[in-house]
Amino acid sequence: MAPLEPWEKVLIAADEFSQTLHGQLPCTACHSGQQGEKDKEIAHVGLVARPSEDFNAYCGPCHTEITDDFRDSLHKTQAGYWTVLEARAGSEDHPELDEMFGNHCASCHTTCGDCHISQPASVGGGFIEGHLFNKTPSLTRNCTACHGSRVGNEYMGKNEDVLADLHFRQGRMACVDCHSGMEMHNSSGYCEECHTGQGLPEVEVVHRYDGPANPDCKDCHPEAVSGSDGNVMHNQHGDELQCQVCHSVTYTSCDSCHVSISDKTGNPKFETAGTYGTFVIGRNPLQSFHRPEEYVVLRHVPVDPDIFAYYGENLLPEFDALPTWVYATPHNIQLNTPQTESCEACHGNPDIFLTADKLSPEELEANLSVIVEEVPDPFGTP
Amino acid sequence: MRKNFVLLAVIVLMTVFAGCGANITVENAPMETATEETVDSSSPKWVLPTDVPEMADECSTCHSDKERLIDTAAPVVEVEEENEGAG
Repeated sequence: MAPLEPWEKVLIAADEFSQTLHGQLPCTACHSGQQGEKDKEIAHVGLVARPSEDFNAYCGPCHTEITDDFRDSLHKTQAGYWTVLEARAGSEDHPELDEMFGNHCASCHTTCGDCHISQPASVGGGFIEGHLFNKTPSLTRNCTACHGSRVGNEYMGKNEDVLADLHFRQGRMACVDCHSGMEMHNSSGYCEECHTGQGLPEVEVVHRYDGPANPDCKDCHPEAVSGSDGNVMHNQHGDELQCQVCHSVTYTSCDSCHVSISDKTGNPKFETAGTYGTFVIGRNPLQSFHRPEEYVVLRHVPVDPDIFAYYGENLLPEFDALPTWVYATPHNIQLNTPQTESCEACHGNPDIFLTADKLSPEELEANLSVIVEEVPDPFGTP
Repeated sequence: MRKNFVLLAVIVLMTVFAGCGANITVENAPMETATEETVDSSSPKWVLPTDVPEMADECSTCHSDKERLIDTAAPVVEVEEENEGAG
């Protein structure tokens, strides 16, 4: 995403904005500063550039229902990061990881303004539409500004020789057509529809794949999952395969990331050893009531035992607690894929299954739960 | 003559209806005894500031003037890309 010029980032569409409800407020109501001053330096004394960092104070008074939920949103808390970090760290007491997180991860948290007014701070910020408040975030300038290197590139077909997702290519669907505002603001919102604390216990969502799939393919394609559409493959495999196993194509995986602080500039930096296209079927590491499928597609994440070595030795002593090939939901869904061409595309084809021989010895133990021990037999084999 | 009669009738009617009003005795009204402030959850907790002094809105004036923003922008510091590989 090309960065905006400095003036573009802060140019207000004053006429349009003044006609909106938010435009009725004096600028200083949210941004403080010195409203009557012409000199930039004086006018900006006390300026609050990103008021929604304190969303309870600035957004909450009028949007209480949303901000109350947003306090625990994964977009805000980044709890998903800590869920996997602490699983591998084996402890909740980790000052070195805290320092690492502050340097390399914390800047990705999201505020109201990052979705509804500006491009996210992590990509340099800048108003989307002259400081107008957009109810619906922009696909390219908000959602994939952060979720770009995997989801965005897959969904919009930016990976070489890989078609864009059917939902985008033919349906012209934006992220919000599947991912609701409630999901964005309230990570446990869908859980709370059933887990009310009466009967089913209340739950805490600490990872994006906690709870049921949202969106779930069957929300729009119920006949496919039930097999009532007459498709033999849906009848045969509907319960045991994640939809992406048949309807996803090559997606991105990464290897061996290392983070550090640059000696030269003092800025945080990272190095990843490799980024490549994969299509790998494995056992479901998150098999549960909500995700009962036996086989799913797996993406290799760039975690490495020494990923945080800059900050200390052996910071992930429980490295094998989680697989390095993780549950994935590639956003490049196609109706017809190599897997749908024939039964033999999968049956008797070891190339697309995660088998032990494909793993380095250092990663074998971590991935025991997702390895496919026996590739499905070719058809006709007794 | 007819006009005076109508006027007289109106005065008489107003006098009669005046006597039909509620007989409110303020002295006997119950006293408010609330001891804590109650919050009406339906009302906004945040109200538009009313004490904003009348002054030129220099914020909007400057931030809607492209040329002025260009002229006053802080110099862009080129940040050397040090990351390697996809993030």
